Amino acid sequence: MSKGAWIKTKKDPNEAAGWFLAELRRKDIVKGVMAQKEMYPGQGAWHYLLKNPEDIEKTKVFIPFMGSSGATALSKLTKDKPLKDPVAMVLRPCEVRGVVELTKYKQIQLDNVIIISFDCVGTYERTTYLNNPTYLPEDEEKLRGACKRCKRFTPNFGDITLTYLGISEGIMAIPTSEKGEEILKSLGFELVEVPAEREKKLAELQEKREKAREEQFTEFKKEYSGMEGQLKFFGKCINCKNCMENCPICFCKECFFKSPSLTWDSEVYMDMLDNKGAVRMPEDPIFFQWGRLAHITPSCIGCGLCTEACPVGIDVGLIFSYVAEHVQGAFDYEAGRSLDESPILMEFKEKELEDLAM
Amino acid sequence: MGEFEPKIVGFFCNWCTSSAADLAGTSRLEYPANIRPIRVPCSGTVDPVYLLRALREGADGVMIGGCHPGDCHYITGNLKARRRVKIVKTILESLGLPHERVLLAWISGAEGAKFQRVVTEFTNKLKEMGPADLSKKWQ
Repeated sequence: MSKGAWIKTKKDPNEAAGWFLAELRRKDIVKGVMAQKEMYPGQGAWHYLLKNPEDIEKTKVFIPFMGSSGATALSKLTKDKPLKDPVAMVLRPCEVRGVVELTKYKQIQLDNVIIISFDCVGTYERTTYLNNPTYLPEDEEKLRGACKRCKRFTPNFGDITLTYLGISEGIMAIPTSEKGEEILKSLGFELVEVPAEREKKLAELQEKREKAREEQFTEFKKEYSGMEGQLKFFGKCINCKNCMENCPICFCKECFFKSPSLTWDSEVYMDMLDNKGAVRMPEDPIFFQWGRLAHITPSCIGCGLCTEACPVGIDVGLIFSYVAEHVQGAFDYEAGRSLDESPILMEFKEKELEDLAM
Repeated sequence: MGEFEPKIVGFFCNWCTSSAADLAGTSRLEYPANIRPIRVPCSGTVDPVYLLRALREGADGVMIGGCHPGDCHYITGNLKARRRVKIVKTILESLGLPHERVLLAWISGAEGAKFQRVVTEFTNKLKEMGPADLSKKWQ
């Protein structure tokens, strides 16, 4: 049974979490806190790096809204230079997985980063949220597809896990590393048993999520297999590459899909016309999407931000999660599972896949 | 109309399969003219998007020829190629697309005969499979 600090200073989970984070700043354990905060009600909550405890108290940790990835934010902060002073990063479990992957790709340096994550019930689609802002994910129906099929909603990496599941008032802060335990103790918290109700709620969620995941994947396979299916799936794509821009795993500075390799002169277009009888403008989305599948699925964390970014409503995240399960499964790898596992394209063994080549 | 002749794009490593193709030629071993060879510095340089692009532009099959594991001029290039091919094949398979149209073969510079055999077998298999409708629909 795990132990945690019961934070009851406020009844509401978001307020209790805000108080706890502010406390980290007030006791000078960290120099800054990054968490989601609404700038203006109804405009969505974005990641803010905050200094003043009064501002930190107003953050909304459990808000059912995710417009961008905290993993990308942390990469921006630490890629070129590690942090000199401790900063607390509040991240959803999928963002934590992104942090793990980006760290392995040397896009994040974890020195002085204190990762605070939480049991994440899910987030709503952007428009659903903006039309009816609310601070706790209470309506299961409104969740994004990616959240409905998420089977890793409890963090498996980081220093402290916050939860309100099965907690009668306030939240519990469960240390998940030595550093986390030290922090909680230095704040003067006594560690008590986490109510068994939490485990029960997590198990219920797990069952529900895995069932939804299977249903979504079965449906996808039935509807969108084969070339016909793929044309139906991506037919609306305008090739804006927003899915790519919003993807925490897509970190290359120079992208093949934006390179001159894909700009041709008129002769090449006329050749294509000769060969195929038609040339789509804007350019073929399937080549872009499949190419990105090949680049990203080895490390796809299933956050679904690509779907959120799509202006024409293609559920990009669905195909990425579906294919990622196959690709990562083929190498017995799971993106974000552990810092110790090398990403699929960073480790090569002489003795493996021996039936593949002739 | 004659028999269907598949178009195959081959990405051949400079240090092995390209030499093997030469060797096959100078040894007067006959192999199907369906293969369109592209010499690359190493099989590890072939990004999955090149394979996909070839299929999109109308290839019926794509082939990567590299050095046997342990023989790579750049130590691990061929192992990278193997993982990439596995990824591409897994993607195609999971989407219900013909992953058999992608082939990886280890052919050393001394294996002119193996080059002939692999290209002949692959061509025959593609003939059996018929034209790839991928690029026709994929406009």
